Amino acid sequence: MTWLNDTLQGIFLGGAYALTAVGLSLMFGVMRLVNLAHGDLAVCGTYLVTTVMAALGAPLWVALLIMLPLAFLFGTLLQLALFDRALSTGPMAPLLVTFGLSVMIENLLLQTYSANVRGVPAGRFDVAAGHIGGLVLPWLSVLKLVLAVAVIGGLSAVLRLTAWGRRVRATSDDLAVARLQGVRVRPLFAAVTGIAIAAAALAGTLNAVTTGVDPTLGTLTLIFAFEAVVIGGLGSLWGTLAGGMMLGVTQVLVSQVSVPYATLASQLLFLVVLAARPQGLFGSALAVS
Amino acid sequence: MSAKHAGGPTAAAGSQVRPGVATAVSVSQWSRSATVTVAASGVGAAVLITLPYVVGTQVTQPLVTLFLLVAMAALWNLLAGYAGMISFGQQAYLGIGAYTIYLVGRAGVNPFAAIPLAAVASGLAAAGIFLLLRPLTGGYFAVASWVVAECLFLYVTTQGWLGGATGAGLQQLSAMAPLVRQADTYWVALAVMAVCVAGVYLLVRSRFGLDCRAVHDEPAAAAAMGVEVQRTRRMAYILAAAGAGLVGGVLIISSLYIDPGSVFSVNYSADMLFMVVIGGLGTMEGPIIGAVIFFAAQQVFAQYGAWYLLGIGALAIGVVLLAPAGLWGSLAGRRGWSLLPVGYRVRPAGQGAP
Amino acid sequence: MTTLTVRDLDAGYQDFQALFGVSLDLAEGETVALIGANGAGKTTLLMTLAGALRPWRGTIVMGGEDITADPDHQRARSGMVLVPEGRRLFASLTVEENILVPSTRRGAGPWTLEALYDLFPIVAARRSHRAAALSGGEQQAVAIARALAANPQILLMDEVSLGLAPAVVDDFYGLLPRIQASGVPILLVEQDIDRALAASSRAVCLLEGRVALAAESATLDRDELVSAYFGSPSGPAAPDQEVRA
Repeated sequence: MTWLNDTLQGIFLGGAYALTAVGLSLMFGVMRLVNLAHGDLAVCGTYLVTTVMAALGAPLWVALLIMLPLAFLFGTLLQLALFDRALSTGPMAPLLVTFGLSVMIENLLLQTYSANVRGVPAGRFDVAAGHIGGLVLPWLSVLKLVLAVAVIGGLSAVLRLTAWGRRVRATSDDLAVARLQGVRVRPLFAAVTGIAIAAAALAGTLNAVTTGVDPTLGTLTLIFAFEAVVIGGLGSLWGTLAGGMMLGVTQVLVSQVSVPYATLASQLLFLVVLAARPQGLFGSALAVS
Repeated sequence: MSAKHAGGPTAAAGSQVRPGVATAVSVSQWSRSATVTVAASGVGAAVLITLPYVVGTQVTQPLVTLFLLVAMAALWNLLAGYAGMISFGQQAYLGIGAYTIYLVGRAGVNPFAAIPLAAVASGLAAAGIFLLLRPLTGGYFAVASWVVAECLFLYVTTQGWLGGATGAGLQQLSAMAPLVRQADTYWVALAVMAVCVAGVYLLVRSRFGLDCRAVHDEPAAAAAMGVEVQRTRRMAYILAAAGAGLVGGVLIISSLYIDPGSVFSVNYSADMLFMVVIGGLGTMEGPIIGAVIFFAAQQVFAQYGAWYLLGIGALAIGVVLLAPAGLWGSLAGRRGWSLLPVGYRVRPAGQGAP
Repeated sequence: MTTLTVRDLDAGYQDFQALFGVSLDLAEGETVALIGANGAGKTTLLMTLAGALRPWRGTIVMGGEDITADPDHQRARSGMVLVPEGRRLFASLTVEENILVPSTRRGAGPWTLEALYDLFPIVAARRSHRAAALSGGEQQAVAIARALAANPQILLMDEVSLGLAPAVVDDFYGLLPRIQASGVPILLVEQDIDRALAASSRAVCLLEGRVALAAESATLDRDELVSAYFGSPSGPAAPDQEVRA
């Protein structure tokens, strides 16, 4: 029974990874942009939430509601001011620029908030859990999984069913021709990045309820997000969910055997998938370059 | 493409350019300014060598840092600027080099003498790791190389015999008189820098370098011309790793201690990126200049905490978007300056190179 | 429907100049064939008109409005629509989704989805299939339908017969009159000179980026065409010999 429960906890962890990764996956799929600052932006959003909570004495949910539109706005500004230019400068530029941005954000947070781990209070919600038979259902973890599925499901639906989503997919297929057919790509990309950053900030905040947040958390966040995207396959949002699950389950199951090796195990899983099937579970062979 | 078949660094060829017009041209890979630069470097090196006899460790210690920064910048530029591979995982080889020295030292070998071993160990590791990274390019390659470094870090922290998460000390050198040890460290660092810079330079000037740049610019066209794309990339990757191994070896010797959290830190990659980008990606002179600037900024601004890194990051972003050739590239590109020429120049015969 | 006036257009790629002082006019309801050898600049001209390339010099005026400075998506929205060389469909979208992408000006003209399905029955039959799964001829039909869906004011067609079987090309040229009947001016790049002349009222021949010949298609002198197409033995036309199309 413990194996079943462990797997369940792994699935929950996977949901958290997927929620963290969905923004990265979206940007990667639509714009072919690997946003190396993704993890740091998630952390930034988390700090913003703690600041709002402290300043207004507001509960977590209110602070989140305030932070999310701001994160969306910040994402659109980043795209318009920085990423658009990087994309048109050359193939290396986006990597260099987002990496530089990541360093900037980390150091800004370090200077503003100090290196100490900061908690994100959520009342009793962070420890409350349901029990079914031998299975433990921490409500926060359930929420993260539900949100992951909801965000991915919602985005997939929007992409498949709306005119805007159609334009996004067209732009992702062939940017030059999309423009020639009248698609305004700049606002489209800006919205995509806005969504990506908002999702990242949401995920980062909810994750920090359990683990706390510190300025250097962005690095590991990015790595897990990237791994979930790669394992799942470029351009597939549901693939990112699957990728997150694989990482989460691996990590939890290995940690039952040996805690120190748990993180290493999921890194190795990523490397194995990369070696055996670089395009991921649901990606196409074109995805790798 | 005819340059590929020119023998050695200098070849003068009289040739008919157009029917009815006879023009002799000389094709040369060297220049007068290059001769001056190399001569000046020789003099500079001689001066640097004598420094431990003349000044105290408050001068030589920071210089060790500078030498290592220059080496790291030159190596990262070989990968990114010439071979077109952006790696955020070179710190893996810093670590492998350092831990090799640690282990070899524990076995009783003099750590100074073992430094070439650090290069060998890193090179071998890179050969294996490249099998994994081979099919990847762009962001995939960059992050995968980062993950490899993270894996090494995680592995080391679990291994008690490597000192685990707390790190390991280099006991063998504690018997040495500090002044002698520091002087030796200084000279070794100087040598490592010279080897790395000269090595990269000679490599880039050679047929290998031409292949690299061809692959970087147009992989499909290069492959069609018979350049073995993957072999070129692999060589560049292995050599850059070997160089990083040397640097890692000096790192542990210099601080007598190795801590996995710092040696495997991606901050090293960030530093390398900043130095090369700001100095001038894809030029020989750029990374050296970038390293000097970075070092100076570190010395002057470190007292203000992390703000200077914020500034350097912003500067790097600005350079990438607004002046992609970097400091040296922008200054020299337009004027055609070249202190350490890499490419070939065609001039009417009899006209000396500037 | 509107008119197109191009004057003294210079354009190129980085250091390489591909168009030299190209001028031409397109009147309402006209189909002009753009012919020339490979590398003459036909695709470059269409790309410059569509806005994918920025002109170095010259003006492009559509319906009295100077659109030279407009970016490509703006031009498409104004009605300058290109059927790109090589089809270039959105591979992961279905046929119907491809046609629906240009959402501007739908309803502002005759080309509704129904009208397009009527024009191209093969497209209608495959409407829910992914574009990547179609044959070359089917893809070409979709590409044209996609352009028409924007109810273009000016239609640019680049080598629609490229790589297609003759029977398929026959089908297309059989349908062309129905497209022309809507009155839209068409600039048609076509390798097959006979088809191009048969389908157009005027023809413009480019040679090494310059207009070498412009004449009525019906009365075009064969010898003049050959020398304009391949260049006369004494070399290309002198730069100051301006030929107004």
